[in-house]
Amino acid sequence: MTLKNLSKTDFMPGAKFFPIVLIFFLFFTVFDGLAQRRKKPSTPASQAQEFLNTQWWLGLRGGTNFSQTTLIQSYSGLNPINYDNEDLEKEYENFVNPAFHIGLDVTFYHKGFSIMSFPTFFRNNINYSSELAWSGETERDQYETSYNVRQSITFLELPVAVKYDIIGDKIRPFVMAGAFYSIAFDANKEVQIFETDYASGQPVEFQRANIKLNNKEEIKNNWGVLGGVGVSFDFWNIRSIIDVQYRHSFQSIVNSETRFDENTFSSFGEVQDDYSLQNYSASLSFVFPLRFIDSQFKAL
Amino acid sequence: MKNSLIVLGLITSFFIFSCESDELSLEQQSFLKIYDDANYNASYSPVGLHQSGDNFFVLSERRLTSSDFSGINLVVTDSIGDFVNEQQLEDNFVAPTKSLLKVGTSLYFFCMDRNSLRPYLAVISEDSTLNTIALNTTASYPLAANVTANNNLLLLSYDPDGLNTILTEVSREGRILQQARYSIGPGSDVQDAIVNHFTKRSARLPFFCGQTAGNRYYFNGFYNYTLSMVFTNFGDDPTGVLQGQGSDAGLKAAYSTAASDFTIVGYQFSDHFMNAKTTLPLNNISSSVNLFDRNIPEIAEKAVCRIIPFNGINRELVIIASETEGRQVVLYFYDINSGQLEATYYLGTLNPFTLSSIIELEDGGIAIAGTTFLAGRFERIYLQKITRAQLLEIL
Repeated sequence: MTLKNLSKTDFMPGAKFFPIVLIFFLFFTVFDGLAQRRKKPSTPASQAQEFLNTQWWLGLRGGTNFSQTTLIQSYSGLNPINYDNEDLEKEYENFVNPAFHIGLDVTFYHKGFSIMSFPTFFRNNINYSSELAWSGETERDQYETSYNVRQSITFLELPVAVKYDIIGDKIRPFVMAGAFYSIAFDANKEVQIFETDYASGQPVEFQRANIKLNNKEEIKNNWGVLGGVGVSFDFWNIRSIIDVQYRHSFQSIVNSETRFDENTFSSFGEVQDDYSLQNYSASLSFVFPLRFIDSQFKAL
Repeated sequence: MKNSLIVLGLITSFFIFSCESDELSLEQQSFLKIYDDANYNASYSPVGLHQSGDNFFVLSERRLTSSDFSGINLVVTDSIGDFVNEQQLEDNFVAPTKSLLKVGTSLYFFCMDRNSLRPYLAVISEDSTLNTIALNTTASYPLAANVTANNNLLLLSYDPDGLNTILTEVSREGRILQQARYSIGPGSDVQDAIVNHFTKRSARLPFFCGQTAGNRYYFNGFYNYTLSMVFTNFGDDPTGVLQGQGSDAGLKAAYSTAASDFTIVGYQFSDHFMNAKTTLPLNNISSSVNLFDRNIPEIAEKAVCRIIPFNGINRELVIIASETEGRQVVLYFYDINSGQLEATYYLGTLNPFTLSSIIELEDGGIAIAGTTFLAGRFERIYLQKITRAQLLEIL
């Protein structure tokens, strides 16, 4: 005998392992380059020149971000019999609920241009609400319900970008542009249900339920483009980078195959719209040079 | 630089290989849809469900201010559960039988005129057109209906004048083909129970009728003072009877799997029992008490029970659907041949869910209709489809 709840199996099984393989190759190629250089010591002057012209950087990166959604198609788990579908449409709040991201920063620099990737656990926070109302023949025959939804989605983001250092030596302002592919890693949805009863003629509001559940099966992988500006500072043997980026995706991140599946949320009519994500982020990175490290582990 | 190109190539190939596979079409997907009415005082209570063409049809009862009997609504949705239209029958048509029957592309149910108590056959064509045909029979309350082996209709009804339970075979055009009457016994207790069945939802009784795999007719109705499962060849007397205990014990649902083999759900006061493979007395008299083996405590006291076949892979199954004390709908999957429980599945979480109908779909999935209570208080119809792939995953 088995006792199960229905859930969609994860799609793209191969994609689960690809990030691991990708990160392995990144490290392999970085350390491969380091090992090769150690075999062939060169003079300090030529090292310094090579350092300026060609370098790998590796470090940690983190920051905060704000998301907004662009509605593609509105859906509801409720089908109105005698009122308009528009009454069920959701209202989205944009750039109000900050989220955080953290990851690696891998950059290959060559003569002012860098090609970079920064695999990141990137969380997007999305807020929206919807309302229902019923009315009868008297003023007391009124009742209202509102669903306030906080949807958080964590992607494992794999971006590729090209960066150009505009000017400078120790302080380097830059511009960047690229694309990203995001693997849905985790998702949680919290729904606060507030109800208003007019039984005594006056509205009396109360919270009926607060439900928070994992809903990763409702989210699918995402891709898009990104662009940004920033500045990097060199001190000691660390390069610190501050940047501001904008991400834009064009397609819905909601898995249409699971939208109307029976679950706790759909049982009271709450299902996701189709929407795409846009996001502003601010990040701080600390990266280290991986080539030409001397015996004191300082970059030349 | 060479290594950088390798990294770039890996990332690029990831983007290419990450292109997602084709998604299922909407018709291939499961869904749960709720049909809301903005009227504070509206209440929907579905009693029948079927699929015809590209539409789902949900037969529903509605409150009438002019009568204690229930009025009739028909809600039509498309194949993905989106609302198409709603039809309200005139208020004189009341008390629909608790199932939608499908023969060919047409759907059928019985109801009655609330003034004359004359039964009517309602016919719904594939394009949602609904017509009613008055039956040429005495006044009687329609209790249950089913389809016979030769695609006629079987009506179980109650004759308040003669105090009889009536079994009638009706053609799809509304002609009476054969009829048999069985006395409910003297006194008013049973009569009150039958009237309350129509006017009080909490007092509903599990009336049903049908034809066995061996072509014997049966009905679950009042016979000789007792809610019994009666077997008949339309003779003056039954060929066999499974007696209940007044209206306090008996069967709630039965599905014929072979000549005398059935899957059953029974009740004994507030207790319930079920058996996926048991033999019922087609040619003698027995008692439902003898079939009680163990109580299933999760089934609610007034729970509706339904049984449908389900064709699993390399095994024949039945799905027994019912309602739990926790106000969920529960599906038990039983193997017909071994009688073993194979899997259990629950529907419903925050708001209560009740069961009305469960049907097997042409694509191998199932659909379930019932009521849920939006905001915990507004009784609305829900329609849920579970795909065949999901059912096999449950198993």
